[in-house]
Amino acid sequence: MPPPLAMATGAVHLHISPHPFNHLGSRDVARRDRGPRLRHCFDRNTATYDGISFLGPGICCRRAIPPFLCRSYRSENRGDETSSSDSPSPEGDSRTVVVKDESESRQLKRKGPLYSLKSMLLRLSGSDSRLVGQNRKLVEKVEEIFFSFATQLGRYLVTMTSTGVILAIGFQLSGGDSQMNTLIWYSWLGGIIIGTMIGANMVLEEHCKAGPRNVVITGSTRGLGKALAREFLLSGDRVVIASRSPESVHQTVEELRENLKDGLAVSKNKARTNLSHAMVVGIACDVCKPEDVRKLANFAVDELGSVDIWINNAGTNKGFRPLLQFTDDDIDQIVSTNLVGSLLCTREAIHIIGSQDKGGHIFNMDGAGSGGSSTPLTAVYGSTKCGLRQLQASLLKEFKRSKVGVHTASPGMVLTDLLLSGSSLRNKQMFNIICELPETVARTLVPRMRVVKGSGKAINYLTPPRILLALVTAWLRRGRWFDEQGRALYAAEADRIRNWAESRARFSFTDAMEMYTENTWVSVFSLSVVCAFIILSSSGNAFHGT
Amino acid sequence: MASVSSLPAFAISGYRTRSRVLARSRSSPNSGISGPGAGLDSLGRAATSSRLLNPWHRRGDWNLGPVRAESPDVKKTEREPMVPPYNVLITGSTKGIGYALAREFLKAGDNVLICSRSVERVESAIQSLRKEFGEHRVWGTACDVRVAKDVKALVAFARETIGYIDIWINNAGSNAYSFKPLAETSDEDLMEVVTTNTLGLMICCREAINMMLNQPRGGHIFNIDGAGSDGRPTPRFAAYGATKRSVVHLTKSLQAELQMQEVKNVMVHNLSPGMVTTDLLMSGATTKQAKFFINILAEPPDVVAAFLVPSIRSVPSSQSMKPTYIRFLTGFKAYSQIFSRLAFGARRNRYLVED
Repeated sequence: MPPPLAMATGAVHLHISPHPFNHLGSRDVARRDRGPRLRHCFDRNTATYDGISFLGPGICCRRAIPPFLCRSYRSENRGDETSSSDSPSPEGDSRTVVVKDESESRQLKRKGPLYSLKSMLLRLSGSDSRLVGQNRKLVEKVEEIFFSFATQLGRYLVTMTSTGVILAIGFQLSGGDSQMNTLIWYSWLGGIIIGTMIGANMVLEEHCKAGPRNVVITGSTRGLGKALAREFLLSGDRVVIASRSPESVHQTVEELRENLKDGLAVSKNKARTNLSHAMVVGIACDVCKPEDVRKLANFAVDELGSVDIWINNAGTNKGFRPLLQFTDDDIDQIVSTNLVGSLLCTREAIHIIGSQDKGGHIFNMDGAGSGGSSTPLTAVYGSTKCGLRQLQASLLKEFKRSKVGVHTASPGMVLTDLLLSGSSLRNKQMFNIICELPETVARTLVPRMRVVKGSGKAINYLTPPRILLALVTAWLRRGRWFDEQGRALYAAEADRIRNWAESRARFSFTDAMEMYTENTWVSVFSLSVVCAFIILSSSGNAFHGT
Repeated sequence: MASVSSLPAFAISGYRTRSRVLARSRSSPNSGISGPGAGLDSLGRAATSSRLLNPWHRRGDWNLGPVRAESPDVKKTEREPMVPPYNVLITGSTKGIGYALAREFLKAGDNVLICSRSVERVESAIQSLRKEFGEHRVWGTACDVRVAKDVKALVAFARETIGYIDIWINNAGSNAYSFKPLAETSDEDLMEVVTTNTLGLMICCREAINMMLNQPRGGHIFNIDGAGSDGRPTPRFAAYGATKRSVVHLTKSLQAELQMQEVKNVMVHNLSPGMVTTDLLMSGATTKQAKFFINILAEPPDVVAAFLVPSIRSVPSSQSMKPTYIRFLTGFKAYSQIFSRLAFGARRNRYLVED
C-alpha cells in the first residue's frame, strides 16, 4: 500500500514544517493589513499569517485565535513584556513600577527558572544604568524569539483547527458512511501534503532570494546580456558588465544606472531596501584575449569582493549563410568568441569561485546546435555551441565535489541582433511564433539563476509547455513582432523599458508558476492523480455497495 | 534539449522554400546561372567572383527550375566516376595516425599529399615515404591549418602538383600534449587546442569544399573525431573534448548545408580512429584509470590505418553520396575487449605497465 505510506510521511512533514517558517521566511513575508486588535497584540512581531494562506477556509478561524494566544503568552512572560516596553512615554514607566511591586510580593511564593530569569532581568534593568542598553537588546531578542515561537504555534493551531473544521463538516455531510469517511481522510491527507510542499517551497524561495548576489556577465552591452544585467540589477544585485568596446560599456553602465534610479522611484518600501545594495560597474573586455579576461576577473573581485554568479553570455554569429561564404575573419571571430572566450572565462571564474568559501555558479549560454542537431547556414556557430555542451559535461566531472557549480542557461530564441542579422522574411514569420523579447526571457531566467543550487542544472526558457503553448496559439501570434512585410512591430528598447518598469511591479501568474521548480509541479500533479484515483475507486465501491 | 534542437528546423525549412520560390520566379532561360544563388545573395552576402565556375549554382537551378525536365540525367553524365588511384590529402600527416594513413593509402596504390606545420618533418616524411613507394606518388608541403593563407596555399599546391583531390582527410589535431584540469591549463595550450581542432578544421573544410565543387570528379572530406565527440565528458582534457564534439557537429551541419544547396558531388564524412597509441594519447597515460583503458582499447597507428583505409576507399568506389561515419572502435568491440580483460586478464600491461 504505497500511497498511504507516502501520505503518512507527508503528514509527519507537516509537524516539522512550521519551524522553517520561523527561521527562514517569516521576516521576508510581506505585511498584510491586519485588524487593529491584532496589531496591538503583535506589536513587535514582524511575521504575519501569509504562510498558511494555502488553506482557504481557515481564514475565519484565524482571527479568533491570536488574542487568546497573546494573553496566555503575556501571563507567562510578563517580565519580558513589560521591561521591554520601557519606552519614553510615562505610561510605560508606570507599568514597569506596577510589575515590580507585583513581582516583589510574589517573591516568596514562587521559585522557578522562569522566575529567576525574570528577577535577573528586572535587577539588571533597575539597578545598573550602564547595562540598560544591553539589557534592552537582550530582552528584545528574547521577546522576538517568544513571539515567533508563539506565531508558529498559532499558525499550527489555526491550520489544525481549520482542517479539523473541514473534516468535521465532511464527516457531518457523509452521515457516518465509513467509505466516505476514509475518502475524506485521504483527501485531507492529500491536501495537507500538497500544502506543505507548496509552503516549504515558498519559504525556501524567499530565503534564497534574499541578499544581493555578485554577478559578472560578459557581452552585456546589447541584447540578452543587457537584459540579464538589468534584471539582476533590479533584483537588487551587484553587477559587473563587460564588452569589447569601452564606449558601449560606459554608455550601458549609465543607462542601467538610470534604470536603477527609475526602479527605486517606483518601488515600495521593502523592494527599496532590496535595491539599496544594487550597483553596476563595467569594464571593457575582449573575451578571446586571456589578459583581458584576467583583468575582468581582477576588476570584479576588486569591485565586488566576491563573485556568486558568472555568466558567459558573449557570443557571436555573423549572419546566416553557407560556410563557403564565411570569410577567414568571420570564422576566427566566431570560434574565438564562442569557444575560446567561454573556455578562458570559465577558467578565470573557476579560479575566483574555487578560492571562495561560499562557492559560486558559472553559466554557459546554450544556442542553436547545443542539442547536437545540425545547424545549416550557421555551421560555425552551431558547432561551437555544441562543443560547449560537451565542455559542460567535462567540467561537471572535473568539479564534481567542489563548490563550483557549472550550469547551462538556454534562452531559446530571442529577438536580438544575433538572430535578426540576415534573417529573411520567411524566417521572421517563424520568429513571430516562437521568439521572445530579451526582457521577457531575462525576467524568467534571472530568478532561477539567482536561486540555483548544486551543479549541472539547465535553466531553459523554452520548456516543453511553452513550446506547446506557442504552437497552439500560433495563429494568434502571427503579427506579434513582424508584419507581413517583415517590418518590426515591437517598440524600441527605451520604450520597452519604460513599460517594463510599470508592469514589473504587478504580479504575474506565469512568473509565480515559474517560481516553483518543475519537481514541485510534477509531485503536485502526481498526488492529485493519486487522490483522484482513490476517490474514484472508493466512490465506485460505495455505489456498488448501495 | 528537444527545444533547442527543434529550432533550426524552422530556419532551414524557411530558407529552403524561399530559395525555391525565388529560383522559380527568376528562372528565365537566360538567367540560368543565378537560381538559388540569388536567394543566398539576398541573405546578405554577395556571391564570390567564382560564381560562374561554381557548379552548385548551375546544378541547383537545373534541379529547381520546373521548366527543365532533363536535369538529373544531365548532371549524372556530367560527373566523372571516381576510379582508383585516388588523390589523397592528409593534414597533420608527418607522424601518428596521419602518417600511418598516408602509408596505407600508398600501399593501396593511391597518390598522397602530406602536410604539417614544420618544414623539416615534412621533408623527412617525404623522404622516407619516397624511398619506400617511389618518387612520383608522394608530395608534401608545410601548412599550418590554423592560418587561412597557408590552407589556401596548400590548395594551390595541390592543384599544381596532383591537379585534383579525391579524398581530403582533416587529421590535424592537437591536445597541446597536456592533460590537466581546465583551471590549470595555460592560455597558450587552450588557444592551440581550439585553433587547431576547430578553427583549422573549419578553414580546411571550407577550402576543401570550395576546391572540390569545381572538380569534375567531386570529392570526399573526412573529419577525424576524437574523445568526447559522442558528447561524453572528458575530464583532464575538457578543451580537447569540446573541440572534438564541435567537429562532429560541424560535419553534420555541413552535410545538411550541402544537401540544402543540392550539391551532389561533394560529401563530408566522419572518421573515428578510436584510441591510437600516438604521442597525443600516451602523454596522458599518467593515471591508473588511463593506463587501464589504454592497454585495453588502444591500438598502434598502423593497425588502425590498415582497417580504416579500405573503408575510406570503399566510399568513393561505391559511387554513393551518402554521409558515413567510419568507426574503428565500435561499442561492441570496446565492450568485448573490456570483458575479456576483466574475465581473462587479456591485454594487461600491453603498452604500459599497470600497478
